[in-house]
Amino acid sequence: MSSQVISWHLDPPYGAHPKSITRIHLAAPCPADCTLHLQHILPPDLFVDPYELELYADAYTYSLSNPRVELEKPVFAVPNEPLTLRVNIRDACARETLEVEVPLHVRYGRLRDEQTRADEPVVQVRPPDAFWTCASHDAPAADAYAGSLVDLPHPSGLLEASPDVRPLSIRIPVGDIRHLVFVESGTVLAVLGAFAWVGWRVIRAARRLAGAQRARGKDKNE
Amino acid sequence: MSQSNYLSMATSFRAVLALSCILRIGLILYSEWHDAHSLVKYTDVDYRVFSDATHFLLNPGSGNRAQGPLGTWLNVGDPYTRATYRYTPLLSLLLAPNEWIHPSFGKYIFAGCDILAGVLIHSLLLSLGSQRVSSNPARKTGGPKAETRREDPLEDRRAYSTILAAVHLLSPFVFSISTRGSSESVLLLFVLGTLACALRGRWHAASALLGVAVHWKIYPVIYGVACIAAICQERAHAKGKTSPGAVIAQLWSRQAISFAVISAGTFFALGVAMFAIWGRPFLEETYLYHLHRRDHRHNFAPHFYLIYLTYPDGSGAVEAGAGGSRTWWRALLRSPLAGFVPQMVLAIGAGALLARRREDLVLAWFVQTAVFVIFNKVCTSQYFLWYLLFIPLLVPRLGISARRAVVCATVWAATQALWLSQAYRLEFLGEEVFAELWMCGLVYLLGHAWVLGAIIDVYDVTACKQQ
Repeated sequence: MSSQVISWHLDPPYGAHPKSITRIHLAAPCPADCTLHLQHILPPDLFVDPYELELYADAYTYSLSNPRVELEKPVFAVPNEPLTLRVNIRDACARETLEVEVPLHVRYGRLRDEQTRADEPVVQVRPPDAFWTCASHDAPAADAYAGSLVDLPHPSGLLEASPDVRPLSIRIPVGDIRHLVFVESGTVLAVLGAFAWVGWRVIRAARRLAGAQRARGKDKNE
Repeated sequence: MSQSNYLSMATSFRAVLALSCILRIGLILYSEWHDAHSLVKYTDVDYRVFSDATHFLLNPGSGNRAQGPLGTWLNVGDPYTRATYRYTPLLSLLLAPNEWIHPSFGKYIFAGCDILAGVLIHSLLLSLGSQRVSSNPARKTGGPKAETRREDPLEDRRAYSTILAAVHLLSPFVFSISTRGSSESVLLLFVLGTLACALRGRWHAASALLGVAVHWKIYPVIYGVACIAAICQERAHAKGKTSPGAVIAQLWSRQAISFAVISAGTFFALGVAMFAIWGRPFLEETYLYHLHRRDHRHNFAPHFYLIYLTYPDGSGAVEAGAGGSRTWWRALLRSPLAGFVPQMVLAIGAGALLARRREDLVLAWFVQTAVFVIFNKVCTSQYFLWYLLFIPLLVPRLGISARRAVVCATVWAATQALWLSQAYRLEFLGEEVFAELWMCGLVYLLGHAWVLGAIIDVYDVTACKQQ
């Protein structure tokens, strides 16, 4: 069996924090002086936290097409362009089968409205490409990396992917713009109600405190 | 061993302190093992943020230099190179031993602040003369009119103080937050220190500490109102004057003015020093960010959904459909002022109205803090610590029945549990439950406001003067 990507899946395939898990089989002999990479091209609905990736420093290093990833905005507030993440696996040849885990995060999606009320907000995620780069090899044909946003220095061969490796869909949670009128008025009414309740309690307590203060003053005078 | 000996041991403050220290050291050591063997970390994400910021501060380089006028001369790095670091540079300096000694050093500092806070709480309870208030069994509403009160013998008071201090020291909420690496305990120690000085009439020390606390995080500025109110009230009553006009006239007294000047002066001196070294990023990230932050992701505050529904898109325009017909009243409903004004009116008003004497500062600060948290447009579990800190000091002055206390605790916890059940569905199952989560946020807001009102109602205004 030649080197290939055996499987790829998102774990779990739902929720706000799926992990991309890729299993790779490496056939002997493992190329010397070469580095194995995984390249993820993520839609704008997904992102990685660079600081979280530092926790995986024992397993891999990484580079991003945009190092300043926006961590705190919904999808419609960030540029509508994919994010390319290249993972550089350490000591790939140390084992025959390796599993690479990359934590992903989901942005809140574009709001549902009257036109899209029946749509399923689902995003397609491509499986990562695995490839070697070796210092002694020439660059391959450019079309092997169509769509790549990261310059690849001397890439020397894409690993085949098994037929099981195919794009997956993940559901993105979205709000509904038709809720706005209720949310606006409901939030303010609740705030005002709580304000009135607490405010009245504070005023009553202040009156009791004032009364006690006056009583103490009288006792002192007597 | 006799029963009284067991009770004596169980309520020995040294025993509680020793147990608290062992617990925290054990959890910090466990956290190192756990984090090394599991990808789901015990350590809070914030601790990584602080540690990264410290690393950047101590390792200046290209693209990482302090941007203030003195920064280049001092050759220090910029902690704000770390994205999402929104704290004073003093915090990253405090964690410098993380780089020199051990990465978990900061956790020991935070846990140590917990312990010191517990010692301070115990000391305050002893000096305030903690008294048990016997509730009237005929009283149905849990109001404050306790019929039976007595001075406890010294031994009883020590035991009671120990039990209340243990509420803080042995609270899983408290020790898990500090051992996970959250820095809240540092600020809470400043707040408690300020309160201790104020309760003992050491106003200059209190005002300086308040300035430090406000530099660390802005919200303690509300306590200044209560302190000045207490100063004015005490001065007016010492002169035998009780009218509101006479109290307000004391705002121009030397004591009130010096309190304001020292606390503001301390705050600005620290701010100027930090700005001189770290420049505009310090101002932007530590303070200005909080003026325009838009927390659209779910949190306890129901405001998150409104923020998400009206979040501007990449061009700055409000999301299509959300703009709609922007009448003036809808603009007002969406404005940050819709939440900020009630929050500040209550926080400041409670401080001004409830701080009649130094002894009432505990109630005033508790109410101010709870109001600030409940009405804030963002709220996470750590914020609850800000007002839970005062509970051990407040309990001796609450004429509350056990039943009512259980009801309050249940409502407080159940509203959070309800919200968490929906948050789990959104966060971990990816279900579209924004409306349900928002409604749970309303229940949380109203439930916690109800509990706060219930606690205010049972405050005993006839508690004896501080000993």
